[in-house]
Amino acid sequence: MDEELNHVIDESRANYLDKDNYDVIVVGTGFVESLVAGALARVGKSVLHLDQNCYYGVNCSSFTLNQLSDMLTKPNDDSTTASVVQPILKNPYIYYQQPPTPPTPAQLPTQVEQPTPVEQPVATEQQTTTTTTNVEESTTLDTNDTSVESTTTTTTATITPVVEKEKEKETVKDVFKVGRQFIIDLFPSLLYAKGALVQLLISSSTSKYLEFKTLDKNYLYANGKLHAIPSTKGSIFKDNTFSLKEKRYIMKFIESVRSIVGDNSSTEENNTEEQEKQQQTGETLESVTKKYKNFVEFVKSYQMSSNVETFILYGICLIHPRSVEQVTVEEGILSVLLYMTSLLVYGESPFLIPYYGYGDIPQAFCRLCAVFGGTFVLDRTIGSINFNENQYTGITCSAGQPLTSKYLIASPSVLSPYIEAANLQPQYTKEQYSRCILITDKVIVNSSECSYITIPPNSIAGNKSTINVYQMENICVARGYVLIHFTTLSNGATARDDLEAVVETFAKKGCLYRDIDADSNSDAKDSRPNIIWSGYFNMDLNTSIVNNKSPLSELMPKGIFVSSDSPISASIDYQSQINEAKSIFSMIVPGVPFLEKVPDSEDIIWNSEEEQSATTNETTTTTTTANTDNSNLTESNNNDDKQE
Amino acid sequence: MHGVLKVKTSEEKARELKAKEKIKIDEYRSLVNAYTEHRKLNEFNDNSLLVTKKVLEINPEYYTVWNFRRDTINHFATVKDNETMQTLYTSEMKFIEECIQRYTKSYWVWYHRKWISQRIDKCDWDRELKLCSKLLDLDLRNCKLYILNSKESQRQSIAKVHCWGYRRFVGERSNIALKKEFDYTTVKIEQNFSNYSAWHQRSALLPKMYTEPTELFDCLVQEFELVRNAAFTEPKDQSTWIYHKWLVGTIKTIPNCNYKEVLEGEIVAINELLEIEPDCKWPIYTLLTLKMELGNSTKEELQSLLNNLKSIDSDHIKYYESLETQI
Repeated sequence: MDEELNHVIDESRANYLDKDNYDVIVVGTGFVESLVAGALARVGKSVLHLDQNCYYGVNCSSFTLNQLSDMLTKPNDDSTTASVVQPILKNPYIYYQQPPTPPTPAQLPTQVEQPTPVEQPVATEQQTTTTTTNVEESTTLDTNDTSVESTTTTTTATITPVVEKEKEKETVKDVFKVGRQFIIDLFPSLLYAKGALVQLLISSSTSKYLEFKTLDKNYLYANGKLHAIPSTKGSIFKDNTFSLKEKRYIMKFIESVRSIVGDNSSTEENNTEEQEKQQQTGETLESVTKKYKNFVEFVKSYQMSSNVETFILYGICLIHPRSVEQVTVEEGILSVLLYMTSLLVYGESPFLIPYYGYGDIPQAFCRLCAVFGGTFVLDRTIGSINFNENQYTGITCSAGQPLTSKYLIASPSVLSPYIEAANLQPQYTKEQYSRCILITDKVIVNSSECSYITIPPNSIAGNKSTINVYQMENICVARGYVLIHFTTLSNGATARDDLEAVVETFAKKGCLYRDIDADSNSDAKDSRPNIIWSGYFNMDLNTSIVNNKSPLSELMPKGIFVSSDSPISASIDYQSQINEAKSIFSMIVPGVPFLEKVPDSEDIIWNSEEEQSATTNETTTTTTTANTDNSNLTESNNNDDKQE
Repeated sequence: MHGVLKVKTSEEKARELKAKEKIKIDEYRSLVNAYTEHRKLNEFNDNSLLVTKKVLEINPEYYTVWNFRRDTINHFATVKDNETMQTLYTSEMKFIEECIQRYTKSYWVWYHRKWISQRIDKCDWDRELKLCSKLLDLDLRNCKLYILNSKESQRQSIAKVHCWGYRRFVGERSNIALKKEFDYTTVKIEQNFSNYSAWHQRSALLPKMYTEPTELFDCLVQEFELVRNAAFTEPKDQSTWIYHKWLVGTIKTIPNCNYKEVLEGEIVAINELLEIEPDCKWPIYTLLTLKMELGNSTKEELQSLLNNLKSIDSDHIKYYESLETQI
């Protein structure tokens, strides 16, 4: 009897951690949490970092195609975590064309196959409607064009019974065979070369864990065309979409923005000139902030053509899929300036993209944390939070082990029951985003391989909000495929409602051009991409309203800090998230520098024996951490890819 | 405290750095001494080549060393057969290439390359052109000019002057197609139009390319269009206006052409620019010269432009006063 009981106890405690007391417990490996965890471990705090998922990054994560497909078909049905954590991917929907391998007449009526049981009744119904509309569209195309055979519009149901050998490789089966080579970000984003995040990565020497590539081009979709956004003076000079006067307006606007901020990055000689200019205009950041309600108003005050206004508002300033009216004068000006200073730093484009997916960035800070002794456990979260008279004392983790710590840091989604109980929700903006992920065989017509396209509201299929399109070829994808992300702010509609019409337009024409239809050239049609796989989903993101403070943390019971879980920033280029991490950090260890540079190995004095033993301890901690992470699919897969 | 490493202080680091520097300085000094010995004795041998090479690798600005090196090579040419000399020249070209990549602004390095390239029996001029293009592109990537930093980009443009000079030298010897070279300047100008050398290269090429007056006229009209784009993008950039001046001066000389119409068109464009940029020196000055050229404006008009120039550009007040006597 006793033996049996002992056995039971051992079994239930098999997953227990050796150490049950920490300085800080961090739950969720999202952007802000990882930043704080790395910074705290860096200054010698003992950190336990948990994540409810079996992967790193929460909303900042990256997945292989197979993983993402699984997530969309089997949404969070884990009953143990569902109570605390909301499923991050809502309204999932997958669509792809059935492989045309068995062309028996009996199968022809049901061409489009819904591969998953999720939402099956709705999905099939909607698919039939899509099918019919597509047939109509394809016939209109056929009458317009003389070359009927060359129409390769993907979503059309008119599959020729003859199996084309070339097309065979573009089927879903094949793409899933190489699905592991895809790195698909849940929420992709761009980094400014001179932005706060890149600076932090460099100054904290975390950049050594990451690799970047510069974006090839960014585009603005306007008047039915893709305009490459001129970045340098040379490209504005060369550009033939702007008139002479418009060129001057753009340059003049940028000049005046620089003089408003009093850009002192220029050399001394220029400074006197700048100062003179500033005296002439007499505007400062404060005075214009008072004068204009938002950035849109500020831009309009220059009385430029609407062409130039769209170019500045959506092309240069707005990087995140937010409403342009939300952008304050200060934010807008700083964003334009940041764009300019980021030019020609690492390449012609001002933007950097992580080579192995956006999910690598929080992981880099997690690694920093682990190197400095932090412990990581995935697939484990808060079971319950323990208090002693409103003072936080520790948690009982989902494995049942009671753990004590001085501080707890977690995101609103993890702490939601507690936040709701305290009625604190309004401190955060909860925004829903619609996402669509496409896998195609070619790039969008007339675009460069890795490019970013901004679609302003009301420009394509009646889109309500700005849509950002992020296209990747050669990185993060298997050879021969192109990955295209669509992201937009949603007003409660599902991702399909928000984006399908846009994707449809795209699929029909093979590009976002309006005038491509007029082009009866069959070469142009052959260069159209075919959609091989597409996945839609919604994400809810909590962004802190105030930039510099984390007001919610002040209202929470002592010892608990709340971190926002949005992968995009409330301000330009992650400044708000970094500030948030800094403020949490300084509340725990006041007056200590945040994420100081890790010393170069040649500058470290190794001779003392004590230090040497300390470092060996450190390495063993890191290896054990790696062992506990064997459920971490993302990282192991990424490593495979890196080796390839 | 755990996790905190002992790190060398900045003083310790500075000391280490100084020690390293000391070694380098001593090395250089001994090399210079060796060179001086050779020079004193007028020793032209393999060792003198080796010593000069080592000195120049560290300091290519030491031009007497280059001279001594050339003396040595000249001496070798009198005693050795051509085949040996050719291999020596080829290895010399490689050595200069390494120097050039590190010191693009050194006169002596470029001079030495010219000197050697003329001695080679069959110099690969295509390769030389490619080298120039590569170096000019390298500069573009290195210069962190922002969209507006025209002063900085002008400075960069000046730094590239050696390379452009060598390119012209190569062009003269290699009989490269004029059109090809012209297209190259277009590429460079499109990258960054604050490029005195590229505009200059264009002005040197155009009259050679189009000997037929009507052809040259048509081409110049296109050039005016190009310059207009640059002027509207950055009216403060001097290089474009200097090229504009050359265009005006050249189009006048074409016989039997209606150049006045073109210049009238330029006046309209500049007036448009001045509506947006009323206080910019170069367009006002160009407008003045154009009006003086055409001679159909009143004295008052010209005087008001001059007064405007005098007030915004007081540095050149004497020049404007001398212009006053001409109107």
